[in-house]
Amino acid sequence: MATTPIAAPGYGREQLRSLTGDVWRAFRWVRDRDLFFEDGDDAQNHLSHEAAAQDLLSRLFYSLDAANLTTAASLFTANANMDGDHNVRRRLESRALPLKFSRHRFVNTVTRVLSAALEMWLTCYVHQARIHTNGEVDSEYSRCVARFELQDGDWRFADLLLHVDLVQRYGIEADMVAIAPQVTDKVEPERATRAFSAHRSPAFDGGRTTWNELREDVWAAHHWFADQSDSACTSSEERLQRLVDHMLIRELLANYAYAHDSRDLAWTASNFNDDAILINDTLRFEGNSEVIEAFRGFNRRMTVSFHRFSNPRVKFVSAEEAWFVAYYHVPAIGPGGRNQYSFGRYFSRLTKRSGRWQIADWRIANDPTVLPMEIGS
Amino acid sequence: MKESTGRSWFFEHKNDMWRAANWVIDRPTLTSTPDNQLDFLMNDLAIRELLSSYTDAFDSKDLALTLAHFTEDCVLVNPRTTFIGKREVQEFYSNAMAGMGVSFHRVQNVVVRPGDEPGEGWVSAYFHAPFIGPLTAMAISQLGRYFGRVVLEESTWRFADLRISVDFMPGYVHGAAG
Repeated sequence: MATTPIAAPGYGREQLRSLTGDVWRAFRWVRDRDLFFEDGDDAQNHLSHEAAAQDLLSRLFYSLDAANLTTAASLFTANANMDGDHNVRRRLESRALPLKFSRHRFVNTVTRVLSAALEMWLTCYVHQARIHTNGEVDSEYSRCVARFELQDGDWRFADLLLHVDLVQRYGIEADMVAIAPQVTDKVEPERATRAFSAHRSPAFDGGRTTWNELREDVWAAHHWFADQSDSACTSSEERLQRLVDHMLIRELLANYAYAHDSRDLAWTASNFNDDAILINDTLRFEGNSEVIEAFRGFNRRMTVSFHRFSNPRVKFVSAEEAWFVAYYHVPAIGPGGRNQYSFGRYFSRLTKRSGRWQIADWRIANDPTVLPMEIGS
Repeated sequence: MKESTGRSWFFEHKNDMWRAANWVIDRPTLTSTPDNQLDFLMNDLAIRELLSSYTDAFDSKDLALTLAHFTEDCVLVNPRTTFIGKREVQEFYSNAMAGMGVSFHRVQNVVVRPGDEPGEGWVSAYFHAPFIGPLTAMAISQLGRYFGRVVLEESTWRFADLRISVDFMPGYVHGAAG
């Protein structure tokens, strides 16, 4: 599971400051800190640290959304910095108090434990759904870079940057709740058929043939997925490797989003196998070069986008192959500057080559696109 | 229905979701021995998987698969009603799916903790779920939270107690992009 050792100890706040002028650069920098585990205990500890980082984010956002600023502040080190301000309490207040309603939700995390486990970095996306005191409803989308330090044996936020990229304004709360928005085209129910998958019943280890059998109906693929069992882990070492692979696959998905949203086609290319296939409801692309051309086209249709993933599920065929399903939600600014939301799902086959998980087959199921109500519309 | 200690905790916290979430967060996480740490991490993953698997089943309108995520004596508390036992829970989901168009329950901010008993765990999470109604000419989005007690039955984690809150439902205009 080892790759390259971490070269430089002690990154610290100065490193963060040098990176966050360009948040995508900071994201790439964190991604490029190689994972290195001395042994099984080290790997296990890394996974525990990663879980602790995600726990801290959850605790921070639960506290902020409940306007419990004392608890939120207790998650920071004494000399912490939030959004470039040493007065963390003031920054927390600015996020929590002027609101009637707030829900912060984070996705797409990439975590690195550095400096002999004295420091940890994390990147993710954050969405805050809000109702302001005047009744206006909006959503704020940010990229987050966090640096944690160990304090008395517990991780704490040492630096937290929430870089706001997009605010979508929807309207007034009373209007949104009281008036049912009009559906502009008829919604047909999905096929959603267990019978479909049961009838086809392709082999769990059937690779691309199985993916081709199931890709027509992604809910059916989900049902097929639910009926499969992971390959067994018989030893502690295998169980540990399974956890590490889960983490790496979650990272692959985060990198897919980061690459797409930063319009970095080289980064996108690195997430796909040379012979990868990508299809959506109408198009098919074969091979890494065609896939990249597809992304070039996708990128033209959105000036700003955030691919926010949730509900990731993985089933391992072997140590080198896995099935993967997830939901996505993409708030974006489309042609003409119009706000839009897309929802959908992925059904994918992933393979591990030279120690790296990559996408072998990628099915995008485009589900509803909705246009948020906007003030004055 | 036999009252377990875990269920008592659930009933004590279910009416205040912030309190429930904080109670879950404040529970101890890892034990000190490496073997237990590995067990916890595996269970943490499996319980997150339970949430995703449950939402997959519900959003794809597979009633049997949805019910497979609950124990026989489960308790489900939603914003309006409490359903006790699998038969009542089945009735709830059957009705919910009948009136539903397209939905996606996107689970985030998941916190998992071990329970007091072996094979028991607690979970707290947010969800964001757009609903597009097939008949009601409306598109809404639910922002809500989960608070649940899960138990391990025959190597599978299931919901023994689940509280679902819906905190805000903004509307959308549904249609093709741009």
